[in-house]
Amino acid sequence: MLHNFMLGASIAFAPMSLLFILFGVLWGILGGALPGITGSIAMALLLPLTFSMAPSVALMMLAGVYIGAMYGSSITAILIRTPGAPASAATIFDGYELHKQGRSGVALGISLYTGTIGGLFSVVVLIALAVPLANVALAFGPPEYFGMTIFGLAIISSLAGKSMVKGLISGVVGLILATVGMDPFSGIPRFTYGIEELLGGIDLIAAMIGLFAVSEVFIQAAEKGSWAKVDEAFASKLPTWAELKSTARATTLGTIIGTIVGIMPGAGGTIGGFIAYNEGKRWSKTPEKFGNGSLEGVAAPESANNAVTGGAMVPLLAFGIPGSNAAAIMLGALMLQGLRPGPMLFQNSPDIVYSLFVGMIIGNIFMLVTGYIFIKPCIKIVNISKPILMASIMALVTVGCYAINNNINDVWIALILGVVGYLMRKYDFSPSAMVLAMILGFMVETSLRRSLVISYGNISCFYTRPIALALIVLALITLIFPIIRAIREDRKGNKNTRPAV
Amino acid sequence: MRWSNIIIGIILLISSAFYYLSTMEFPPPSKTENLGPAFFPTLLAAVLAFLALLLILNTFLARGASGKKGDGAVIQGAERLEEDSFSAEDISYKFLFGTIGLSFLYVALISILGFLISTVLFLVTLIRLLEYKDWKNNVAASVGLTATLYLLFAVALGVTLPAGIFFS
Repeated sequence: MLHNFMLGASIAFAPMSLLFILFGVLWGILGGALPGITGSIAMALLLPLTFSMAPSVALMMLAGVYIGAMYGSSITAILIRTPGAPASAATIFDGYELHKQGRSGVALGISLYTGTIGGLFSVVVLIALAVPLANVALAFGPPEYFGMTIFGLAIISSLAGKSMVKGLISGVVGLILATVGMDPFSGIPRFTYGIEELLGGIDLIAAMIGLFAVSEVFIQAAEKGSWAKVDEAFASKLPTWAELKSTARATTLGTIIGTIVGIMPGAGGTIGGFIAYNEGKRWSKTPEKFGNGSLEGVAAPESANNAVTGGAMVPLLAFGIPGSNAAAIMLGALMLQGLRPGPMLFQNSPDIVYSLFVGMIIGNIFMLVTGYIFIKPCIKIVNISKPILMASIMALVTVGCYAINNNINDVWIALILGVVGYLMRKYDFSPSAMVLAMILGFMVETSLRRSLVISYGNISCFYTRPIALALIVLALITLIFPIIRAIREDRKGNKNTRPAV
Repeated sequence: MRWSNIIIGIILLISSAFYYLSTMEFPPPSKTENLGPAFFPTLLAAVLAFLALLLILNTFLARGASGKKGDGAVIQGAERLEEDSFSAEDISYKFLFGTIGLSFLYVALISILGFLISTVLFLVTLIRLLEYKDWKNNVAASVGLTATLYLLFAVALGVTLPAGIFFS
């Protein structure tokens, strides 16, 4: 273990690695600060650049983007009351209030400091959990993997979208898209309809860029009016040590909540931020200050959304199952290099896993150091007009998708899925659930079929193996519970209205 | 009543039928692998058809019960997967269809005119279409960005970008 850390550190501290982590963090802060551009979009835009990098460097850079974006989104949340990404949506309540009171620097500083604390803590939890979990996962056979993937998909689809039916439809369509290409067992082409380019399946990177980034460009471009201009001159006085200490309780809560939420598939910075804000208020000594410029009201969501970053890597690294868009993109970067995360990665390429651990710590420290200086350049770029920015992203997406395989077809896939993603979001379906299902689809099908090959077609392998059974039962509960709850609430509602009738 | 849900439900039903029919030509399961290539897709087609029917049914039921209930098993609270939210209130269809149309045209033109010319043209037109008034800034930004992308991808990363009919 110590040996592996030394190996990881030797990679992460190489000058080129440090440079790319720094670039990732700055790109992340910028992307986070830009309204509409979320951390995962900023990551997706860099994906095509990673094909020429060493996989460890690519992962560290993307993790840097993820970390930086969680802080960056608070900049615009505090200064113009528009969260750069939904992860900082809870920050506007008190952050913008502080800005109005002329304490912008204090709010931004609290966001940066508590975010760093949250981020660093979550990396420690990641290291503590991922290594033993991966050892457990090594013993998993196909039935356990089948249980795990459908449990993950059940959570993701049922959390996605306003309606559970639509979330599930998004997931199933993702699984359907994953079946396009060569059948993993017999090798015959499926659903390619004679198109040779589809033999290898729908390119995941192009799909992610289309569903995440292109759909967002369409949404932003269609919106009338532009973003509020950010005033470059803001009160830059940083928080004092006493002010930082006064948020200790909220920061602790936020950090723990964020880490746990991050580990859960389907939930991310947004949910973590809101839960942390509510809990921070509940446990605060001065809850009445919340909403009127409470420092704790900034510390709780901002420590939480940064703590999500480490948590989100736990299921990805230990089991190879991404639970969020950001984790899905990291997985995409690995697959671009012909690697798959999961327990075998710890065995075969410990350098990649351990350098990511060290790289994430470095990323958090880079964020702490550059986070404050970088606010001004960020504001300058946010103030660039929206038409120029959106057109630039579209051009970047086009070249980037082309560069993945030197193939114009990938650009078409990204564009078409961009339109699909736009329509899905317009009608309350979930592109995120679809992407995650596209990634997991291969695993669901192969683990199901492999299980039945091993057991000679006897489905008992799914209920005689305790872990597989537990996971499948959990998946069923996840799917059935919301329906029972909806029926119950319906009944309660009817009872309440009856006397009135 | 939300007609969009009914229409989407019907489209999904037709798609699942089409998807299922495509599995008909797959070879049967082999001796060693008892499920075969058609099993999983058939299962997915059935689940999708079921969910599509549920969506249609829910929409009808929601209309019967109360107008505002939406479409079925609505999850309460803010438990939504992030980044799927969509809150554009004031949509310009000129901007929307213009951006989508120009993007498709751009990708089609790349193979003919090459990367450099089509990118500059695309950027200038799109920025203008989105009602950015300053022509000078527009052209400067478009040319600058095209040059940056070219340097990054073609020079630094060594990607062979399409040169088009004028340069090859």
